[in-house]
Amino acid sequence: MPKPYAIVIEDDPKLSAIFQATLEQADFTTAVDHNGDLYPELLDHAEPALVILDLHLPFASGVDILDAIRARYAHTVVAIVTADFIKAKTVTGKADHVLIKPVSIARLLKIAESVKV
Amino acid sequence: MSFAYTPYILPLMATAIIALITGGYTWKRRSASGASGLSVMSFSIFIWVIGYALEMSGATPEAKYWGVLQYLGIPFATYGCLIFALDFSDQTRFLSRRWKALLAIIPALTALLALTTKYHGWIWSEYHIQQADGFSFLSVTHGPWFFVHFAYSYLSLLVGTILIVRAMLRRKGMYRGQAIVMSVAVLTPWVGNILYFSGLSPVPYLDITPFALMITTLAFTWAMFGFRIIDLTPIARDLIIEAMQDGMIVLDFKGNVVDINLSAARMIGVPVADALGKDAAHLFAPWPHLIERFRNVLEASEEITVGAGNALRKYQIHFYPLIDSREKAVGRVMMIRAMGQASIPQPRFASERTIPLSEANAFRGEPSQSVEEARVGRSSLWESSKRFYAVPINESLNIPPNINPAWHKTRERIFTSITRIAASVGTFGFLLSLIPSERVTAVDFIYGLFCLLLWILGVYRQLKYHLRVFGFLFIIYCFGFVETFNFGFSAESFTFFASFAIITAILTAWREALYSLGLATATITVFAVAIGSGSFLPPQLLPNESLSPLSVQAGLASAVVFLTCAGALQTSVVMLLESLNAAWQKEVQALNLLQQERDLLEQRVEERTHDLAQSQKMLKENEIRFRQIVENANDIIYRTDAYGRFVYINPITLHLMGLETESEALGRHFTEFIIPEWRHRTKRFYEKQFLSGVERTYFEFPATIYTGETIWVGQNVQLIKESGQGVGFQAVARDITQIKKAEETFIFSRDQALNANQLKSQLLSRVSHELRTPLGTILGYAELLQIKAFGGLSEKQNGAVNNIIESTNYLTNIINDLLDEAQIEANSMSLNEEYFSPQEFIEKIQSHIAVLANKKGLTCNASISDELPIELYGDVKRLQQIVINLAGNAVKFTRSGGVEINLTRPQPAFWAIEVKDTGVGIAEADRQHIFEPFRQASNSITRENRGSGLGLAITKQLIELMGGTIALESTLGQGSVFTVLLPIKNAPGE
Repeated sequence: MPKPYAIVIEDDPKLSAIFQATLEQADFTTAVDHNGDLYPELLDHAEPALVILDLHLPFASGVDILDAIRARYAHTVVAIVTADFIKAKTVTGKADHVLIKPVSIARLLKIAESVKV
Repeated sequence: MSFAYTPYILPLMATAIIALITGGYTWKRRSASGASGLSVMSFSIFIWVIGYALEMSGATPEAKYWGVLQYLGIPFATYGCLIFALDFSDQTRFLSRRWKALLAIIPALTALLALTTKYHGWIWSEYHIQQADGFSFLSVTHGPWFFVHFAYSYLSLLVGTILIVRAMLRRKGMYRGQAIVMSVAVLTPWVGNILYFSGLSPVPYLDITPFALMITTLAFTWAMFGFRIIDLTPIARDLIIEAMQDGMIVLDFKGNVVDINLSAARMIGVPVADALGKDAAHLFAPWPHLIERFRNVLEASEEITVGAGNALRKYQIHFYPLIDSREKAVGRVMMIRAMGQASIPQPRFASERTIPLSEANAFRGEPSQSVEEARVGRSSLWESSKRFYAVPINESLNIPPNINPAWHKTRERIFTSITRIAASVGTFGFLLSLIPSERVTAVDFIYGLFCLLLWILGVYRQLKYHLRVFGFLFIIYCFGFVETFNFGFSAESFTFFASFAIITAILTAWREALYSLGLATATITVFAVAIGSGSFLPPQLLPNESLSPLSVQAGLASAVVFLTCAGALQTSVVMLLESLNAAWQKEVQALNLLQQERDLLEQRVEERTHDLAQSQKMLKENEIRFRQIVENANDIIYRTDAYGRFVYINPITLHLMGLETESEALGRHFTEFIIPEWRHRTKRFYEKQFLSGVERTYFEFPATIYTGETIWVGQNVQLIKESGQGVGFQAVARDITQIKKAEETFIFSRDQALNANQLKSQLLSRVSHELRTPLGTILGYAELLQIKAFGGLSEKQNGAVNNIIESTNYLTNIINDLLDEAQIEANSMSLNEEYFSPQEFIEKIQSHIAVLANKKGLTCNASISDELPIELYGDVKRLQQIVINLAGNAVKFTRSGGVEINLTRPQPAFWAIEVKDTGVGIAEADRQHIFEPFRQASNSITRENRGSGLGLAITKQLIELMGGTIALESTLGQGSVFTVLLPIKNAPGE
């Protein structure tokens, strides 16, 4: 059974490294988009099981990316990770998980585990 | 041709005088219904009586022939009676000129034939003197025409009587008194005639018909004029017409002045007395153009000018026709009204119609001869003797009650006059009788005494009236007594006694009259018995004279006849006088009533005037009050017409516009003062109001004031409507510049505040983002270390990682609290409400708190009441935050024991979350501050339970946001109970 595929779209390099490490810990194949410009290619690559998505990105809006994912893949679990609690409210219901930074690794691992099953 | 005195002359002369007076009286009033007939009757009786007197006193056949003059009177007397009857019974058909002439043919022929009877004998074919008791009369054989005349006369009388009686029966509006008088009038000639022809007359051979007819005429006159309330008219006329400022002249058809009032007389400058009866053309001679203009003009209304310069006067002249009851024009009334300043001074209520000299001749515009002047200078012997015999009315006369003062004064005046004449004549006769005689007899002496008494009675008017009358009556009685004593029964004695009775009736009252009649009758009866029985023989009685009663029976019969005749005559007189008095009393009553009514009316007018003045005063005061309000108002108040042009403007508005007077503003358009850019818009707004008929509007616009500044005006406008049609606007406006400025400032600051809030939110989210991101890195790496993602850690390293994680979580909590608080303060916190299961809710919380509690070795129990609905509605995340906060605190401040969380439903509409602990408790002093931000109970700050100090504040604010309350009960050292009470919202299925 191949490793599940997860995409991390986060502009902060440290956080994206932490998320990547956490997912790898949970035995995921990961890909990172730091600016919000690579994600179409990453999505083309394979259907992701999980997408960790920041809402504030230099080249794209997290909401648009969420819509794009939803339009293309029905089973992808999207976890929004943001510090903007106001904007977070706008995606409640659309995304599977909304996590306000700082995000607990334990929480993230739980989500990753649940996606795998 | 010689005449001899006969005592019958006296009553005949008296009758003649009465007839003349009555004739004059009625002739003056000939325009009144029936008066002309009465006038003809009176004058005819006068001629008749004169003729009869001539016949009576004539000593020779030639002299007695003058008796034929009676035939000038008799037919016309009956003719007059007929005319009166026709008039009285409204037989207007026969009152035309032609009928009157036709009816007058026979009387005229009779008169003509009587004057010429000497030549043809159609009236008297033969006549000779015949002597009768005490007098001689003419015995005549009548010619053929006499019988025509006889038939005509009686027929006229008969027709007249029938007409009058019929009219009386038909007429309802007559007084009883009037009816009685009319009846007496109608019956008297017939009774007189019957007495004459039947020989029952007190004086046989004496024709009493003229006397009877005289009574008739008097009675008719009385009935016509005495009983008419219309006789009030002269009084009313005097009151009104004389007091009028306008001149009034009544002209008959010949142009003669029939009536003229004081004002008119003053205008013309001719005394009223001189103007009456004059030709108007004569009076108006100084103004020929007026005569020319108004000659024969029946109806006109014109303004005329007389005089020139200062004397120029303007008058309004009206002519009205006078139409009688037969629709015939009988004359004209001319009214003159002075115009402009030259008004005539209000005349006084003048009883005498004289004009003050100074006021005369307003119409003439020049002074003229005085009215009084004309009278002065004629005071001659004639004047003084006239004044002596025709005495003036004694105004100071003491008037007995219940009698017409005018009548009393008149009879006193007549009495005085007659007494003086009688005294004069008597004295003259006395002196004549003294000249031829050589010695003064006792009779002469007594005669002289009587004359003296008469003088006293006549001259001393200040003597008591009744005393004078009794003296006079005594003399008459004495004459009668002496006559009877000397000559027995004679015409003279009867006449004296009858006069005695009747004069008493006239001069005194009916009671005295009755006594005098009794006295006279008693005297006659005594003489009748004395002479008749032969026990007394009158000394002067001639043996061949048959007049004296020959037997007691004859004497008594004479006495009865005397009583009857004198009684009848006296009754008539008394009746007449009583009726007169009754009428007068009615008149007095009516006048009193009139006066009362007038007083009442005046009082009412006064009251009304007072009321009116009062209300006008109030109205004025009100107006002043309102005007003051409007004029002193600081608001702009004005009115415009329908086109928006000023019709009223108050001072403050004038001032703002830089105008001085209202007249400068009137007529100008209100938009002139509005700044040009707004004019069109404002005008359109009000045009719309006018067209739609909306009553009140409010509009704001900028206007330029006198300083050149622009102010904002807030204007309330009311549409003025008259009968549903808009006729103008009424505006109350004020300078709202300050308000406008404040509004602008407010809008500005509001925008600024909104901006600041937005900035705050942006800042908050930025700060939060900027803080959370590095926090995420710290926490992430620490946790990665903890889960040994980077390889195993030593115990010390592990402890350090744990500390890092703990501090980071703490920092995160503080940031979250700060954000919540900020959100709540900015009112940007919103609840995300949905249905949730309280069971799941409590389980979740319990599992969370149990972890914390277990770490400290505490118990954590939770319970849920059965009364709670299966589902509740609310923001479950925030509710969790609240309970976790409270329970977390409970765990924090409890060292032993446990924490209890209970969900209950204390009231049907509320559910409650109860968080109990067995902790340190909260001091009383701290309880009131515990829910304030950044405040914590003083005993709570320990190393392990520090916090932002915002938790309870946020909790309370969240609860309040949900519409609930939070309560705290606590005992120091024993624990605390927080109870959150929340409303059950949108309960499903309940």
